[in-house]
Amino acid sequence: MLKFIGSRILQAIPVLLVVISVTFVLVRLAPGGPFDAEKAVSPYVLEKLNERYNLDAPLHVQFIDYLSGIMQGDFGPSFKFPARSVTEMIAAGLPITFELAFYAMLVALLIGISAGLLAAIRPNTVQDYVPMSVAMIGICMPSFLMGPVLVLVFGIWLEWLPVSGWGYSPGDKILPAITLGSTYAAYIARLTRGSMLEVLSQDYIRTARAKGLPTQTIIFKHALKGGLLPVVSFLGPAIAGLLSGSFVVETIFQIPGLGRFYVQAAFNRDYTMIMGTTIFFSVLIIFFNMLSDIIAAYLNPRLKLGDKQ
Amino acid sequence: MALLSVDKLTTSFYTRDGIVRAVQGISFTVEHGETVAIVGESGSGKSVACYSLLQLVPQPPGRIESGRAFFNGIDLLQCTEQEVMKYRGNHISMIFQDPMTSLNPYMNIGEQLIEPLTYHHKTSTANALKKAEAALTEVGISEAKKRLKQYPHEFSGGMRQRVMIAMALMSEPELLIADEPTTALDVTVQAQIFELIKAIQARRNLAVIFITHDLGVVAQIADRVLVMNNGEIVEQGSTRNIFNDPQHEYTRMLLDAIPVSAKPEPFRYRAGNAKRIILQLKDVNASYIEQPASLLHWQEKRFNVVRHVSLNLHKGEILGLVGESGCGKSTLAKTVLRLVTEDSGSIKFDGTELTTLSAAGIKDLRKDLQIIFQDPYASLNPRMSVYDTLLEPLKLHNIVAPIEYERTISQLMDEVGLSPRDIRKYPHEFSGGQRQRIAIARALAVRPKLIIADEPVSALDVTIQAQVLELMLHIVDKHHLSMIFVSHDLSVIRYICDRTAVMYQGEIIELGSTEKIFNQPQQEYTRKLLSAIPVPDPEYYGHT
Repeated sequence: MLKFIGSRILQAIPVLLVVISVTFVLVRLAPGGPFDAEKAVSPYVLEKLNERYNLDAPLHVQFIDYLSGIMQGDFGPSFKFPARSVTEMIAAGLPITFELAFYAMLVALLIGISAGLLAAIRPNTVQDYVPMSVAMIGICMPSFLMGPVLVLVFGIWLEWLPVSGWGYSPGDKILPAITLGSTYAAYIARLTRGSMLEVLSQDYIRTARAKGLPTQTIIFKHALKGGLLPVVSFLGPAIAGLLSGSFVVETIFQIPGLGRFYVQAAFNRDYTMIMGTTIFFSVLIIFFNMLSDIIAAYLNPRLKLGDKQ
Repeated sequence: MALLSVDKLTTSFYTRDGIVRAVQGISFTVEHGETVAIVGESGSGKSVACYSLLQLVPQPPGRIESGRAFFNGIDLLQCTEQEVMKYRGNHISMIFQDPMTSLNPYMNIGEQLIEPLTYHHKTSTANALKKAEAALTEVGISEAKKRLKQYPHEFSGGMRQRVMIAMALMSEPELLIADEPTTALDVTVQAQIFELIKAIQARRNLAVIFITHDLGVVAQIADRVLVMNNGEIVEQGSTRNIFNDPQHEYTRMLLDAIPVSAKPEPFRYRAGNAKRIILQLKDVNASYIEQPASLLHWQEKRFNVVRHVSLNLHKGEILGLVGESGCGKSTLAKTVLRLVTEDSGSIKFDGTELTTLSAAGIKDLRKDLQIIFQDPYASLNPRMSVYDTLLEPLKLHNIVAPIEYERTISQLMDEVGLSPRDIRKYPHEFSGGQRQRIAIARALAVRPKLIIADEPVSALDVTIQAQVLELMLHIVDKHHLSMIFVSHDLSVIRYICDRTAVMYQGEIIELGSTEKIFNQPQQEYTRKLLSAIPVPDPEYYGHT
């Protein structure tokens, strides 16, 4: 087990290096720089600024400097908000993004698994077609459409829920969570349906029926564990996707999370901020993928045994 | 009063292609403590009939149309789902064909064993576990307490079937329905399972319905036999009467088709040209490396599957390779085909050393060396018509000029007993036996010198088996082919092979003419294998 985690961490190092190098080069290839503003800065000031932030050095020197900074846990100051370091800004936005992702995941799992189960229990009936059609719509509809539609219906027409904000009233977390989670709910519903259908056609389900077990016992005790394995494997990429993909929802609902910093940083050419968030998200993606692999392996007794031997 | 009395049971399936009348008005009874075998070929409705009793037929598409099935005076077919649940696994238990897939891989054995008790009798988990331990011991599993915590994959096939039996017996049923319980098991294991069922039956006065396609099994275990064909019971009677004095034509056909393990047919030794050796294996070793099964463990495991195998195959000869699952017979065949690379040794085919062959050389070799696989359902590409399937090897190896394609393919079809008119059809439009004929035609297309047949008739019904074996004998004679015939089924081996090699744990422990192997086996293991074959003769087992 430790060996597995160790090797996955070792594998992550080259991945991260590639991510860092590619991002580093790409942001610098993009036209403009951190100090291009609407109001032009005098050449002298610009020169001093570049000198101050080490932007006048050759690119490879900057790169090595940056890497050595990361090694010491220093992501540098934000170019746009010089008073704050990148680490501080990530730390400020992260809890909010995490909370949003957590609720969205709850929504996705709750809706996804129940819809998938409903569909799998009576395949090719209304009970299957309705949730699966809704799921298809959920997959097709991007969050920048889903969000405003939900706001229009529940915030403006019905006036049930606040249209934006975060943490001002208990209800303001509901719409963002649903908007962000709906796509994943749809994927999870389809995954659950597919794998449950497969599991329910297995011989051991027939055995369970021949034992005289009631349907709900068969589904929840005999089928669900095997049926949810693909969902668990999907959770890793899904959580990473929720975290890094939250910026649209954060923008729609005016949530001060990490996603918005990320997008603003890209517009502002805030080199260090872009780099910092990219690296941070990469680490998250790698971590959650590893986590879901471990959980999936532990749910499967055949793989557990392999570990012992 | 009979324990079970079925009257005019009719079950149909409503499919897109129309209504399939799987069971058509069958009637039979089962007495307390009696063993009734239902015998028939695949699709005869024997399983559907039994599943209908417990309403285990998937509905839809299945529907129990009419009939009555009195079990201890209660009509099971009139019961609601809730009511019939009380019978399933309680008064009537089932065991299934494939113990590898019939146990839940995600639950440990103990959890699965106690369910009949905790649901039907509301026994506490602790008490149920104690009984489960006793049940495992009864079916001959040692260290039962420890085994309860293990998962199905930690048991071998035979052991899993024992677990299934223990599970079926947990709630002390009066009737056990066994659906081909030993078809997936090796012949020696099969013999043990029969012994076990018989012993338990005697102890508990348990009635057993035994669904099988194997008449050898019937002779060994059944008191009475029902012969089913096309959803109807064509004949029923005592085992002795069915075997000695079959009335119905279909029963006679079934009996005739038994691959002669006990039929007094002379052994043939047709070693065409015994001087000419076509294939020579010298001290071949091969191992199988188990890829890391998961991310969590990646030490490769190496199994020496083939050990020090040396043998000669003569031109025109059929050599049987027999052994139980895991003995290395398939790996040996694959080594000859260069699908598995040997660790050491020499394989000479028609004067060419195969072990040092280049990739291009192996491609040419494929022309001379063909294989027929076990499962004709899986080994033909479902998206290619028969014509395309047969055309591919012709094109690949430039066997004939393009203008000859059509004629050659028609000839091939004709030769394997299929109508040349069917060449545009796809595999699913053929039956299992016909598909195996297509596979044979495909192997023949390149005019090979050697055919390796890996369990070619194991997936087929007995009547079809006999026909396909006949065809194989015919083509071997006609084209002076040599053949390695891999099988676990000794009766088939006896029927078709000139010489036989018995494999055990990767080694050939005995090799000789088939006659000698069967009549004067030298090794203890060979004797054990032979004595475990079910003999299709009730007298042999002392039925009266």
